[in-house]
Amino acid sequence: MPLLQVDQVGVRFGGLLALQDVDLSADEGEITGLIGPNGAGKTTLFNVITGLQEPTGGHVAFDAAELQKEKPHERARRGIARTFQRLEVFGSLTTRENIMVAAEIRSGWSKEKVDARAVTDEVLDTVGLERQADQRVDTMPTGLARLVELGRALATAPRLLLLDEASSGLTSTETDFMAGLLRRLSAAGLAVLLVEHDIEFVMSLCTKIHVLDFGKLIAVGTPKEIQKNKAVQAAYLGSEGDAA
Amino acid sequence: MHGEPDEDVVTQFLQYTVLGIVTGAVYAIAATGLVVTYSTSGIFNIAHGAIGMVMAFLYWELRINHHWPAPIALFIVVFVAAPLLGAVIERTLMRRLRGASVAQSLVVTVGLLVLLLGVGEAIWKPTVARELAPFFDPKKFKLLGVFVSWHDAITILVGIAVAIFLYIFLARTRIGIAMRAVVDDRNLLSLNGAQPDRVSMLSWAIGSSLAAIAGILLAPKLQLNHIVLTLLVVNAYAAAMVGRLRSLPMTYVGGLILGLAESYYIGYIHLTGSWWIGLRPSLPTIMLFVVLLLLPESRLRAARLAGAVSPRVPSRRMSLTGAVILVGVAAIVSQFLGSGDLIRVGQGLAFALIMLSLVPLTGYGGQVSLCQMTFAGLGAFAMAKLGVNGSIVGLVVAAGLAAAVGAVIALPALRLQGLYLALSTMAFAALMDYMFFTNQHVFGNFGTLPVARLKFLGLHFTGEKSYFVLLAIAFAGLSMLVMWVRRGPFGRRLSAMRDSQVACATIGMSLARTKLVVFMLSAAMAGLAGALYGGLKGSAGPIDFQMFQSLPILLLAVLGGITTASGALIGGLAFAFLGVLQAHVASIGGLTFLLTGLGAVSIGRNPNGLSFMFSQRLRRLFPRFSAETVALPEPGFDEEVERVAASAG
Repeated sequence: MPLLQVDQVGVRFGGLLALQDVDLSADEGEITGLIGPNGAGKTTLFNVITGLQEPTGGHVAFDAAELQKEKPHERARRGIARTFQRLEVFGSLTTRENIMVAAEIRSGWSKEKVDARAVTDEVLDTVGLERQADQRVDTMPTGLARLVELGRALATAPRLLLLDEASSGLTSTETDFMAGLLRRLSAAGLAVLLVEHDIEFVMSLCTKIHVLDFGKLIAVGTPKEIQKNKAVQAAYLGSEGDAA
Repeated sequence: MHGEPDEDVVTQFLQYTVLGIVTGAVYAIAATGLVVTYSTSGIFNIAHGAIGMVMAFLYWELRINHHWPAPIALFIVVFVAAPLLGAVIERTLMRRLRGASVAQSLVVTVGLLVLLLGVGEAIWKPTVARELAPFFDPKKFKLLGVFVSWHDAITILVGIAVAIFLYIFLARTRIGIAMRAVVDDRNLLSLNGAQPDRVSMLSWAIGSSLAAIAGILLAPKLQLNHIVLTLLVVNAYAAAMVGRLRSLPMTYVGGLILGLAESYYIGYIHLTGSWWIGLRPSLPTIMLFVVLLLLPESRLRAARLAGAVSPRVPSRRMSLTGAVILVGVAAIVSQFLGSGDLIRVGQGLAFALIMLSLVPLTGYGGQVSLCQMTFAGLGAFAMAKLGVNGSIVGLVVAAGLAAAVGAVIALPALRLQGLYLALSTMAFAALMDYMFFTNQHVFGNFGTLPVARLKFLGLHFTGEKSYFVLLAIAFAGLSMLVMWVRRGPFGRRLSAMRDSQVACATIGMSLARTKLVVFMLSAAMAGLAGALYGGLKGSAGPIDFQMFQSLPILLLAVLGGITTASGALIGGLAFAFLGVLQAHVASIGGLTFLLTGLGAVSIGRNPNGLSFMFSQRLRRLFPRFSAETVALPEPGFDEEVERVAASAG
């Protein structure tokens, strides 16, 4: 049984079907990709998994538990963490405080003993932000702010990490750093689900890729299979000719 | 017992039903105005009732004072003056609020309410009694055995006409459809050739006209009174809440329920005893709380707030230094002030203490309370009852009672967006005005209760000088407490909650719990402050803690700088100063309201207020003492985010 199991999920906004019977799974120790043209429903699916959007149909199971009734913060406590396509950092706090808040919240509810300071130092080291630790996040460039968001997510000690456009706004050095970091995290057992526009980035990192188009899952497979898939090519050529 | 129901009973029931429908129609008209502006501009207009109030007075001015024929006066007020006012408000104030937080737009609309109240009281002095007769008074006709006055019939017809107009307008006309679309996606709408700004302006114009109609129809039934008509907004939003601030048909239903409930209550429920007197005017509040309990949990939305810069928290050493300086200055100043001035400046310190209670709640946590004065009143009441001879028990109970009551009010709204909490607090303050503070068992029959000054650890703070210093000590101590909270885990949590609720939820924070704790903390501080304020005055009475006192408290705290203790101090002293000013310029009624309202609408968007501006100045003069100032974000951060977001889709 995969760690995350999305089963026949649908979302309707008025007359618009944002997601239609979508199946998806993510396993521990692997990086799973989720790609698709603009408006395909990728972020909506993230919102469903994290409880920010109620689905009109279908199920989400995490670690074999049904999440239907759980609120966003309860899902987070189960071990689902995420970042946002449009940054959602705590701008008036420093990098260290952004991460520490997450660690402190965990120490508030977790049965294990959590040393928030130690966790924060460790995460700062992992995401490579020690030098910016005491800088307010709203004064930082987007690339670094994305790392702050990632660090904050990691401080919740997640089992599943949802990354929404992890590489957008990053310089090529930062992108390489991000790729290396994600490999290390997944090697340590974390399940990573990655929404990405940078196809090269996805192809090089993921073991399995899901492709959404107009709210429907049109393909699942290894990077190689996806590259050859006719439906995927059509979807990308149809919407944005330069991608893929 | 088994026969046909007595005909009189049926007639009586019909009579109350008709009256209920009449009142309900007015509430529905007012409430739809709120919904139209809220759903098209995303801004909840707390000043809706105040607009109706000003327009009703304007109608009185034209109709009664200048003897204009009713149709012309009505036309000018409803179709010219009111829409114009609405459009001007949208153009000058609301348009600047795009992308602002709930707290910021609440402050500006509360500012507008207070400003309009000030304008109303300045032009039409509250001391003069004015009458507005019902239309075609006293003509009435008989329908199904029930007498219906022409005014009531007109009210119902206008209610129906408004409903039909809105239906046709929103569903059938091009601009009406654009209006419904504007809130969903402004940019998309402008891509399609519509002009969102114009649509928004139109919605404010319509909303304002509806407020005017409601005000004019209601004034003859109730009273042509500034406060009564301004409070119409509470009834209106209680009704609008039934439609979840969105659905117009459900809003009508809400208005009718409220109208009928009031009418049947008057007709059939004859509870005697002082506690029940205030129940009827409290019905809207009660309905509001019931509806809040039934509303489904709000969806969290990713909100991009237009960059609010918060000052850096002073270090422990800095805040200790500030506290010592404040107490020292107070001790010295107290030696030179006469007892009258000691009380006046002392009031400033007491108000500052009440405003300080908003710093963690609003300044750090981004939640708004419109009932801090009510908590202060509870505190003063507790001190009066249990702090006899200045016992510290009174102070402790004051804080505890306010916190407990705060928890009860906040609970229904916690699952919902911040706006609902703010609306609950305002409704609660109105309810307490009716049911508690004016109750003869609380402060006596419109009298006052003596409140003792603190005696503690053998120290007696009974003299004016020592009490003045005590207030300074209390302010300094609580300021240090607030800053200590801000530096710690809970303070981080509050800032995080203000910056991004979505992110807070996805890192496992229970927003409801965080909001509850900070609301209770804030209520407790206000309760404590109220107990000390009562001690300063030596008494507490029903008019000291009215809802309309809470509004300037919020506004001046924001003007002073709601993110800092120094801001609260500035705000508090300013409030006391305005009181003194008002006493000297008695010819201008509502001066305090005028000035605070004006201040709030002009700089209400800047949460850092005056203290921030001062500290920026000081920082330039004395670069060494710059701990409480902040590094401004690099310009263009938001633009950068927008750019990236756009490129990412």
